[in-house]
Amino acid sequence: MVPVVMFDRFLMGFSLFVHIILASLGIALPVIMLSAEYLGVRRNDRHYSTLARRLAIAFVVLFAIGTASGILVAVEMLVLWPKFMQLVSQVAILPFYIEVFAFFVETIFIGIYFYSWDKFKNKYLHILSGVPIAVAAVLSGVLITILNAFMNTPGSVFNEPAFIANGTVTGVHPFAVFYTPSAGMEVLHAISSTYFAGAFVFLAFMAFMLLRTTDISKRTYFKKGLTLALILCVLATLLSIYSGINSIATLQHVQPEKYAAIEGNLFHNMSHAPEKIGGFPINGTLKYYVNMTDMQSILAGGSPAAIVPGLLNYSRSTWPPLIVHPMFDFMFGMSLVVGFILFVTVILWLLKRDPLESRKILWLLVICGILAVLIMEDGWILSELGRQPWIIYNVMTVASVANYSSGALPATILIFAFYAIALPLVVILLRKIFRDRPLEAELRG
Amino acid sequence: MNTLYILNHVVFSVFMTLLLVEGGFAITALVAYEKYKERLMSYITPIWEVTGTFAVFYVVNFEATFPKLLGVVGTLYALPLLVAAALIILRNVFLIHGEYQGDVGREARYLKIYALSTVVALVILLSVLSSAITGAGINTTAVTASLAMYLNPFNLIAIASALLVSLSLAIGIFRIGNLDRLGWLPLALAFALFYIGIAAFAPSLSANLGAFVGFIAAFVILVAVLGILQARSWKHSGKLSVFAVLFAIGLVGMIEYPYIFGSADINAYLNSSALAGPIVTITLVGGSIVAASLAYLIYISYLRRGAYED
Repeated sequence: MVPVVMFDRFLMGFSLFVHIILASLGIALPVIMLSAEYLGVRRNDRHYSTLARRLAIAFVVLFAIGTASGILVAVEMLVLWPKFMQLVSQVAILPFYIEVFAFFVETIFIGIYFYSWDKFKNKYLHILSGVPIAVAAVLSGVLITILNAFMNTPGSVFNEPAFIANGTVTGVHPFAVFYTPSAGMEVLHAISSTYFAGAFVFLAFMAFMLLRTTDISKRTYFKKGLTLALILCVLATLLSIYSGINSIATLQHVQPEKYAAIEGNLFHNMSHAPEKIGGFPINGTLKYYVNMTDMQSILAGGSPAAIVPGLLNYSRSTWPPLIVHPMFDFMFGMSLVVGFILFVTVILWLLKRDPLESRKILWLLVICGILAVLIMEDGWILSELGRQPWIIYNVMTVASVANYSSGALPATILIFAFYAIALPLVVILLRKIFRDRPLEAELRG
Repeated sequence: MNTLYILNHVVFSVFMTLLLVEGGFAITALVAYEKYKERLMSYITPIWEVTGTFAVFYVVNFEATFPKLLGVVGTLYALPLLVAAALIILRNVFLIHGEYQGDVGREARYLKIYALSTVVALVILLSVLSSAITGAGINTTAVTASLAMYLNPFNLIAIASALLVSLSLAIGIFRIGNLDRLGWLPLALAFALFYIGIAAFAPSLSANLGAFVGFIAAFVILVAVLGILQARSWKHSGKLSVFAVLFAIGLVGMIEYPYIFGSADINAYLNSSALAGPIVTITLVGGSIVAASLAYLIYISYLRRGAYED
């Protein structure tokens, strides 16, 4: 018999898995859409203007399902983890609360932007009406990540010892949740990764479409879209690399168990720690990996003598699952692949050897789009698994706050079934919308 | 009355009003979509996402206002709330599908699925709400809910009243048939039904006599004014009926206070931590920004093409 808490976990995880993809597109697409509209107006370029209009339609459709999945996630937070939300609401709900207003602004300005396209004589004013969408979307991401950072490192938001001892909520510092130890690092990494995934998905789509067409005007259109996406991809990748390195460096101080599990450190805190590349957890130990002597200490502390956290310094009952080690390796390895393809593309570009004319490069960019989503999802799952068994690190375990009522099971099946209908329908709808609005006709005006 | 409670009820009243208007939209779409297509779509396209966002706002505002209630609410209502949330996914997908379909036959079919999802979600949410008011079908000590939560006289009356309100709003806003002068009638009927429901099955609410009498008086005046204006075919009477409903829901909150689950004191569940003050401030500031943005949306939606100069 599968415990009810596993259904709770599965449902929350599945809903977030879907929501994160939609949120990534929701954050990255407005930037590309507004840039395209700006270039369309500035250069009086039909390709860019058409791109902006078509992106706006796709964005509205994706936002519709994104809003629904957002409602679902908000409800799930309440019904699957009621005792967790009970504490959060008393000590750390401000980011979540402010996020609702950002979401509101985004929703309203989508209405304004989308339904007022031809109502402004001054076209720059229409672009301006889209700016709150891009700002509010990223602000939502920032605020939700701040709440997640509280779960990872609650810091001095409230009196934890008193809560752990007798369940009383005292010593609440209302705004301390905005600067918990991991907040800055997490926000930077989450937002850059979100732009990374969203931009790469769009890049992959444009590359795929470019591969399928020989029409000169259409090719120019897809190339212009690809160029915009490429710029965002490069910026997001650079920021993701910087923030990723920063994250792992910070993690060893603020969440040492998570760090140790990610590195597969099945030893006590030690210096001259080896870096383990690859390997799988089998029966509580790591097997089939390559050891790089002293490398972990050097990477983590700049010297072989630097001491890194080891899991044996902690009670086995609070170890995160060791699967996070291969998950981290997968994320790192795939990021290297994507980064390398991007690097080659940019170099070819700088050498003026139009990489977008190469079918091989285009196929590689399509693969990058798939990998980018996998990297982001993998990174998010490993981050959440790395906090286990805690829902709030060192304060509350997941098992202690789950909803054990049997309602979770039928609801899990129902929501899974609804998503199974809804997601393919969205893809079908997008295909139909754009089939009914032939690109060549729009490009001709 | 506590400020947090008042703000929560204001948010709830707006959310519920939007939901009931959408209920009216859904009823019309189910019965006569083809006939009223243009009126329906011109209403729903700029506003439906706002209704969805208000749902999130209400959930989060509820969490911020009543943290000590979340353990009970989350456990008691897990199934109906998750089902309602899942129906909202269907609502969004089929609405957007219908909007962009192009093919009239399919468009109507998809919008009917949307309408059905909306009505069922509305009924489920009303059942949750009515059981939170009366405590019918739930045991807050054992934290269990039974089928009586749905199948109790007060809930059936509340659902019937809500559907009548939606019908009244549909008549007023979408000017259905030749009934636009009679929009007040289902509203008055809904009120009478709800009054009987409270008096017969929610004794703790009717015991709140001062507010209850005020509720009756205010509603009678409202319906009477609305009836006169609609009888004279005043062109804004449809919009006025929305405000009448908003006001009526606000009044229900007044008579409901301070009870929850029949006779429990809601003040015991209010947020008493240091967050209470910032939540009030953020609600007022954020609410002002949202209100200004909504006003701009309405202004823009009334503009003709190319009308906005600078």
